[in-house]
Amino acid sequence: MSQTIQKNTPMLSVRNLVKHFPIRAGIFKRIVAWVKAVDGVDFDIYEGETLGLVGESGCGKTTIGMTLLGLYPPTDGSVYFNGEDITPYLLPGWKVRSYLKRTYIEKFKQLNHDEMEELPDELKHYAEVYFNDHKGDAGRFIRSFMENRKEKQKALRRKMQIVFQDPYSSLNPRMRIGNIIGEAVDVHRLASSKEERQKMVADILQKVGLYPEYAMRYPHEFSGGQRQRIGIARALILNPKLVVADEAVSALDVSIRSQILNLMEDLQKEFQLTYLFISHDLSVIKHISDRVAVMYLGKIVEIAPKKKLFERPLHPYTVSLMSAIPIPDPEHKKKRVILKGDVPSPINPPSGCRFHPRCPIAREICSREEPPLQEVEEGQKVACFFAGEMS
Amino acid sequence: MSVLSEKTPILQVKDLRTYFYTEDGVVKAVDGVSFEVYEGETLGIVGESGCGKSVTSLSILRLLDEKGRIESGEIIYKGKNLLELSESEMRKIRGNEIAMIFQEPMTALNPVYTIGDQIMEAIILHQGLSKDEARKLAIDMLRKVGIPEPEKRVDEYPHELSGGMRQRAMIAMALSCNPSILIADEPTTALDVTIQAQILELMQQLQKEYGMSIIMITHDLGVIAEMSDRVLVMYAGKVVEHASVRELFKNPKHPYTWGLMNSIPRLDIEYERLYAIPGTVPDALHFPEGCRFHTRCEFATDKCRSEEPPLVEVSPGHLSACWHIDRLESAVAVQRKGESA
Ligand SMILES: Nc1ncnc2c1ncn2[C@@H]1O[C@H](COP(=O)(O)OP(=O)(O)OP(=O)(O)O)[C@@H](O)[C@H]1O
Ligand SMILES: Nc1ncnc2c1ncn2[C@@H]1O[C@H](COP(=O)(O)OP(=O)(O)O)[C@@H](O)[C@H]1O
Ligand code: SF4
Ligand code: SF4
Ligand SMILES: [Mg+2]
Ligand SMILES: [Mg+2]
Repeated sequence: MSQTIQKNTPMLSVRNLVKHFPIRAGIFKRIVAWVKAVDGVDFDIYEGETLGLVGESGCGKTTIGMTLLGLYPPTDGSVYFNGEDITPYLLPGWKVRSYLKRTYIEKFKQLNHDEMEELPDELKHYAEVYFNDHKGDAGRFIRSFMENRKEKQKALRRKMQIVFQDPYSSLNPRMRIGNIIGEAVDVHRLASSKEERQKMVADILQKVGLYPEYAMRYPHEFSGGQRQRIGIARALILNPKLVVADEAVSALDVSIRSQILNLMEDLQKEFQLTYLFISHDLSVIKHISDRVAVMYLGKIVEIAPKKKLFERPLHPYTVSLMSAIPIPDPEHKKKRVILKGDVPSPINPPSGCRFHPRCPIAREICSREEPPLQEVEEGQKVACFFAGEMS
Repeated sequence: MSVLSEKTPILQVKDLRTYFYTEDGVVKAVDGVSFEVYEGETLGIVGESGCGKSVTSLSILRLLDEKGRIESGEIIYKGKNLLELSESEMRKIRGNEIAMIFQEPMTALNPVYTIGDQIMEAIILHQGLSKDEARKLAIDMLRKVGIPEPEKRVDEYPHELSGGMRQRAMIAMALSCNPSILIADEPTTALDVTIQAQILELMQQLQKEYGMSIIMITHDLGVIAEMSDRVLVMYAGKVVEHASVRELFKNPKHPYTWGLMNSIPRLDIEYERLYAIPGTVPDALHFPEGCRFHTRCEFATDKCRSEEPPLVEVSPGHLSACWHIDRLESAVAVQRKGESA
């Protein structure tokens, strides 16, 4: 029983994640507006898979990645890692109490016993913790999240790593490669001696296809592709579970890009890694992903297994995005949907369905109501009132 | 258009060599490049970063910085060698006869002038129109490139426009003097794909209307396939292959071209593993001896390491610079057999 539950528990679950950035103006730096960079997204990532996250510039991909890693505190919503709520460790300490109250305690207080079974898995688990372990004592429940906070945050940081887009600016130019990669080993005290640390660095350099001697060199001595390998080595030396790759191959030339994609696939197998692979490039996403989430203006509009998504995209935005990509074959004639207009600003996203001003099949309801992300085909969730109509 | 006039190139680049004299040494950015551009066609130039695409186009317009020098070659535009013109004669060509658009419109647009002022400046300079007439034409051009409310946008500053709109404004500026050649250097690389699709469609439509030739520079083989009539493939400062777009994709005759084509994941084909050209793009200060691709080529022999292969016609209208096309051809045949099986 517990076996099967564990199998079905996603490694990472994201629930109603929201991240708004304030825009300040004037001499008093008052907040004049909010950028709704991520505005309520839900998704799961399962162990060992690659979830591709695709969308146009500014739709919120990087913001999601940064929030999951605790680099931006979330505005709202929850993140679960192997069923455990890690949101308290992503938030600043003073926000944890109100987060727990809003997410759990207030809900649980109004709960009848028979309603417990109907809760979503994540909540059910914490309802049990709350009522059984802590006997419904809110103070004890909150304290349990505050205990060993620093250690838990550190452990979490080890499990999740990020590889950035720009291989030029993401490596400190004044540090030797060996120290760039080995820094995390020191922080987490993973090596008991200098020799052991050296060996760890040498091993990981070899794994990413570089020579151990490179440890003594500086970033400027390397090409873009090599620097990206260094970035990958830095992420992998801690033996993480989840790697967020944010446009990790976007700055690379085509011939180097395929080397890095192949390397990432090999390392995934060898280290049983789970990837959140962020890219604006649908063909790269298609190659590397098992499942794909398509974002538009802070929302996921479609999420599906790769095969389904590419065979029959159901959201009008996904259809348009796919048809916009030039195919490297002059004989290939395809009908193309050319979207009108620009991507609107996330400060004032359009009412109802955010895609409606550009959607070729928008109807009256679309500007009034927001379509929920719903399962339309098995495993394929779509946020559109007329899903499949353009497919 | 008669067959004969189709055969006269509007632009001929002959054995162009452009070097940069830097502190670290001489960068032979463009090293013996030749090609022609015919009336009304689109010539695509493709290659990885640093292979000399931008330097080629900047050389045509003589826009190199002080470190750069055109060592030798000829650039014949309508019978005149541009390299022999005085700077004031050249100014009449630039923007008027040959216009250019760039990857990042912000580098070409002046942030302190309105869009309208910048378009009008070119119109007044080259066409001698009055200010009112120029403004009217500027508004017409903005409308033509699909900028909504052009009467209002004409008075806006570049930073008030989105990336796609800025690129449209730059196209409007480039086309306002009805040039015979438009050089587009990665015009859509910085844009989102849905916006890229809009801009590419706009360029095709304007080309039909104005009949200009386009030199389309990009690293994206998809854009090349979509836009070009003929294609130049560059590697390390040299042209390695030159053919019509269909011929190039059907019968690639250079190992580098073939490698590039195999390296891109395609939406319409499923791969187990991507092909990857081994090694890295060589540093321009130290290009390899012999064939510059030999450090990465799976067909390379000793001959390739010592002797430079000339660019020769290997089938009608198809040029390639490789000693071992036969080896490539058998590899392509094996691959195609595997794909169709
Ligand atoms: N620190 C910040 N402060 C204010 N606004 C921000 C901040 N970071 C991101 N944004 C805004 O949030 C929105 C989403 O940005 P994000 O970087 O997540 O987009 P993205 O999908 O990664 O785009 P790209 O493809 O360009 O990398 C954008 O409008 C961006 O300008
Ligand atoms: N102003 C310059 N000074 C020195 N080197 C330059 C300059 N511009 C270009 N180069 C070098 O010339 C080579 C070709 O550059 P470029 O034509 O810009 O390549 P791309 O094909 O990416 O457009 C590169 O090695 C580049 O570093
Ligand atoms: S809900 Fe309406 S506007 Fe939104 S994608 Fe569907 S059809 Fe288009
Ligand atoms: S000449 Fe030799 S090294 Fe160069 S592309 Fe041909 S086979 Fe390869
Ligand atoms: Mg980003
Ligand atoms: Mg360039």
